[in-house]
Amino acid sequence: MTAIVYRREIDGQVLTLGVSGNLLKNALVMYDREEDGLWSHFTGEGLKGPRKGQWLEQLASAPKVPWKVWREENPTTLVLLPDNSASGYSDYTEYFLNDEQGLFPPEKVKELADPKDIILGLPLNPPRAYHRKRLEDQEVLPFDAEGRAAVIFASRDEEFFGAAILPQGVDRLTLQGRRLKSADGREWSALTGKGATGNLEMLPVTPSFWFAWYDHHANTEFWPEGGVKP
Amino acid sequence: MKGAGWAALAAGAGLVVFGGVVFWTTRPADEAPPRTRTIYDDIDPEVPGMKAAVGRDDIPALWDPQFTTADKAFLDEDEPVIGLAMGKDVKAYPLSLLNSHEIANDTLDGIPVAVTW
Repeated sequence: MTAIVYRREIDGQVLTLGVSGNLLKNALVMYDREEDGLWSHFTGEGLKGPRKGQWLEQLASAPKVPWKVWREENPTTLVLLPDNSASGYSDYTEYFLNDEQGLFPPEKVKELADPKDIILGLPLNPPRAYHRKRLEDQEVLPFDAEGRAAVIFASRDEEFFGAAILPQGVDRLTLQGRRLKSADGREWSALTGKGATGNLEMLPVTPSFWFAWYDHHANTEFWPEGGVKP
Repeated sequence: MKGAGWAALAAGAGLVVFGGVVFWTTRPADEAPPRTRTIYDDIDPEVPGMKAAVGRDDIPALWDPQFTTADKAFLDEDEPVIGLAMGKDVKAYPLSLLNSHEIANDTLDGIPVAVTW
């Protein structure tokens, strides 16, 4: 349900991750073939094994976009091929829609938004959740990323979103189509952060059901602060 | 959708659904009575709250993903993909494939990554 990209290497040990078949707080639990550890798909936390308590590093978010959009922005892209030797449950992710947490969420969750509203989560300290639909109205919002000036953005017209550290000397960015632009005329791809004058430092964003984010990040901050009225 | 998801999961894993709660039975010994557990049972005291849904590798992660170029990809224009750009490496992971595999173990720009869904 949630696309998250991790660096699968810790302290020089490369890990090969598989699907354990277990769920924790309605999220996939992964295992690694090298050390037989268990890992949370949602947060990257080591749950069991020699790396328990360590965290996989989450890499800048991978946007979910229509193929047409990704190809137009990245003509040299490669595309994953089907693996005919294996078959999976194509409807498995539906499972995550059928959890008890979604039906009986904590009161605080319901006060802020509909539990199944989509939020864009920033796995920072403290974690932050942005209401996706509301953010689309603003398109770009500044925030403090643990002491560094950053922006989070979500397109009104297309499905992509992201977050990026503001480059030196830039105090705001605007979103125009698929481009992030600064007042001094520089621009970057909002999908990849690539630009002619250097790349933006993109930050990981976790799109998620609001209740699921809260399950994993009970100390989260929420935007807009007072919640959204249904 | 909701019902179909459960049905597909149950059929695939050999589970039985009663009123939204999933049960399955095992016969560990010849004469032992069937042992029934619900999907809501914790399965590992070291990881409180962890439940078993299906078996390990029942959903097969991609260990060695194969790619083609954009001009050879037979994707619908509107088919959703997860796009990833690191250094000079740019790749698209069709959501339909990530649904079936959940995890793709890959390497981009020399960095081992797992694209998870």
